[in-house]
Amino acid sequence: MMVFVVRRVSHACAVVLTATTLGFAVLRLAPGDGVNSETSQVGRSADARARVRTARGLDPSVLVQYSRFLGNAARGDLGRSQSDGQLVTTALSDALRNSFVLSGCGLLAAVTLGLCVGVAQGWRPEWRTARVIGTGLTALYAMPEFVLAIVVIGVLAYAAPIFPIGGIADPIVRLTGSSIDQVFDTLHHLVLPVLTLALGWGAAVARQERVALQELSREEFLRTARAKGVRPRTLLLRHAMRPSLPAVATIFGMMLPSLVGGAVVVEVVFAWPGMGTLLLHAVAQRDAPVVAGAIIVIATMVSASSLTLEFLLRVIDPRLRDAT
Amino acid sequence: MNITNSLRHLARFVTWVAVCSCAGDQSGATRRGRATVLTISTPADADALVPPLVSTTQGKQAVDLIFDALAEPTSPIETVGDQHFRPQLATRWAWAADSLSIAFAIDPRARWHDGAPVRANDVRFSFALYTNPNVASPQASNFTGIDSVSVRDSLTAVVWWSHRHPEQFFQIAYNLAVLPEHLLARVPPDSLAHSNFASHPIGSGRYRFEQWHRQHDLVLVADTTNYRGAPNALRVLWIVSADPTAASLSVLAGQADLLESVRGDAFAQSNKSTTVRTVEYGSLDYAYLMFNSVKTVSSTQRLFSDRTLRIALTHAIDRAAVVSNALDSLGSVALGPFTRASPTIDSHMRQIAFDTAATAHALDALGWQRKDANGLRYKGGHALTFEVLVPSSSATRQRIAVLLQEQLRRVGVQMEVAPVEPQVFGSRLEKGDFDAALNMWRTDPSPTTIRQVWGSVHGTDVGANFGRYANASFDAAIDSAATTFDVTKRRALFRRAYQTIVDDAAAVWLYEPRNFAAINNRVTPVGMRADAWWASIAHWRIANADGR
Repeated sequence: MMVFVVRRVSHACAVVLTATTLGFAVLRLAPGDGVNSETSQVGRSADARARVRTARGLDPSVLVQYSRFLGNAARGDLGRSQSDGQLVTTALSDALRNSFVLSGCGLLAAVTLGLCVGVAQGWRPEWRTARVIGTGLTALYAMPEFVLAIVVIGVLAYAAPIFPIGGIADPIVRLTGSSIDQVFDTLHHLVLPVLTLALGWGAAVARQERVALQELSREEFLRTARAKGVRPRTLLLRHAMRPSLPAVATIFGMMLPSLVGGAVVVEVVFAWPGMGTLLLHAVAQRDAPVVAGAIIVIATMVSASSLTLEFLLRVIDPRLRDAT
Repeated sequence: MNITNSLRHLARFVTWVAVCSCAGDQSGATRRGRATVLTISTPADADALVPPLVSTTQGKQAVDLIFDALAEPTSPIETVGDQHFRPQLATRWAWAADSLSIAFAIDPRARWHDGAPVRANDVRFSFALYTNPNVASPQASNFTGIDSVSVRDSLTAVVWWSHRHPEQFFQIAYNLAVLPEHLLARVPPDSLAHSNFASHPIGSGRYRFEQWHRQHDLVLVADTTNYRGAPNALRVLWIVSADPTAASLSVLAGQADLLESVRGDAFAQSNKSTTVRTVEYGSLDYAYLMFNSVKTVSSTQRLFSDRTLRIALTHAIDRAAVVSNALDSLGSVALGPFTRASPTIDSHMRQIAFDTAATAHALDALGWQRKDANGLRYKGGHALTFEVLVPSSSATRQRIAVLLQEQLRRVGVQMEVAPVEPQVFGSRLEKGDFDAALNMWRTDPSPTTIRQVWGSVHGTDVGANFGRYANASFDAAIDSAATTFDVTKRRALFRRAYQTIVDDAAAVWLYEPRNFAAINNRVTPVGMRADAWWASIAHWRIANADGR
């Protein structure tokens, strides 16, 4: 077990370092450095552009910039954003927290929704309502995320103005409301983006669960249990659900990395200041320290989630425990 | 918190959601707090809140409300002399007999938001900060020609110039935001962007900084004891909404009060809405097909050093049709490198007309003959073809590029459209690595800044003249205009310069977007200037939820 852990952790370190190096290099070698762009008026004189480049530390070669970045990163200092001067660690921690909240709730809602629909479809394929819901969910899954987001906004924020169109919180509530008001306000803002994520991701979970249960329903041990008179509910909960879970756990594991940076479209449409939005903005501004910092976080999360998944699968499926 | 409380809160949430569903309203706290809040939906966050570091419009909007200038322009902006300015931080000013200095008397009632009085030393300090190379202010060049700022007494700052020019007053009064010396003197200039002040700025304007959540919202609150009086709106709030559809829906749904520019469907929906209306204000933007006149990278760039060819291509483009097709009523055909909001323009200026026969004649004369089955013109075995860069972020310019492509194809010219990411666009322009580009430029209120974009390049500093256009007659007319004090003569000189560059077909002047803001009916804006629609926000009237 120890060998397994050491091997996986060293593999994860290599992944993080490679991803960071590639991210930094690609961004620095790409044309543009954020100083002269369409949205900025910096470009009025070459002298002004040169001064800003010096101030942002863009003068040295890519290699020097990267070695400086790595040296500082090893000490926990990811530097400052080149576009707004904010500490990268501050920007990342704020964005990470917001992404966790959004994607965590989205993931939870998706798994809950997907499991309910998948179980209903897989266990009782003759149930028409489940089929209809499943078909509807698949249709939503096929819809591009930004279209789904706009549809959700159009229905639940514009046509029936129940929820806020975007943002993480109402700044006025944050300034003038009580702490309870603020919690409710955040929940209120969470509903639409979480719903969008849940509708999209839920379909994938439902499909996986449905297929797993349909395959299991033909297994002999279930037929035997049914023949012995085990009640359908017990049959499902005790005998069928557990062996069907590895399939869902796999897809859950694949979704885990999206906790950080996997909901870019939803974050942008709903103006949710998470990792996706931060990364997108940083890439557009060629903000290398922020991009590299974000890649470190995302690569670490991906590695950690794949590690977690492997452990989870070993817990769920005893057959895997003996495998190396 | 016990279970009963938790259940009570849960019930409250459910009830609250239900109430919201029925009434489409907000909580009591929000409603009370929002009564006189102006909520602006903005596509991007401010880049900085320290005036010398600001380079985006969003940043400028905030700092213009937090900080004061010495005087503020009236609308429309006339940059000559001081007649078109009214006092702001300075109550009055006096010119020296030789006009090489202006003494500004600071309003003795003016206070920084921390309570300290504003003094003449702050003006001197602010000038030094803007022009300090270690601050790397993108606006430092606005102060070229100003020698120094001295302090005559605690309430009188004197600004000194090395030579006279007509825009002296505008140069200092418009460009310099006065900053507090007592808070910034100990901040190293190269650390200004990272200072505590940068995240919690303190100014003397009619709004104080309240909170800033980057990439999400920025809130300013009224300085109710301000020496210039309390503003009408209690708070000004910017909500960042990068997605244009979501941004326009937020205004239409009444969740935001203002979107500074609406286009397409959102414009039509705003005009149909009973709660939102559109308000037009002047534009300083113009879009143009820029030619690269100098061969630097690719072989085709040599094409556009030929004036006759540029004129021939301009003749081939039906600009009115292009603008009508791409923008409908949301744009006007551009007249030259300026906009209709500039006081120096002449709307009757002679233009290169749409005339494909003239194009054919000129191209034939230049030796570009139609040869292949597609009607493409060739000369010496080379096809008449070039590439045009278009920023992928602009759907309008991409649409226009396709229209231009078709119009040029009809006269035997092949134009390849190359949509590129905005950073790549900027980088290739700066390096001169393009044949032609569909660019957009925001002009300064000062017409003399046209030199940065269209003046001949000396040495390696191209400024913003990325196409390396050069014309000595144009330069001479602008130089003369820049030193002429008589407003009528100055305008005549500017018009001569404009006519020169239009006749020279330095670019194909395509369109000026018409700016329409979508504004909630409860907001009554006043004085929306082309250069700063937000400048008079303190005077805007915001009705309460009950319409009062």
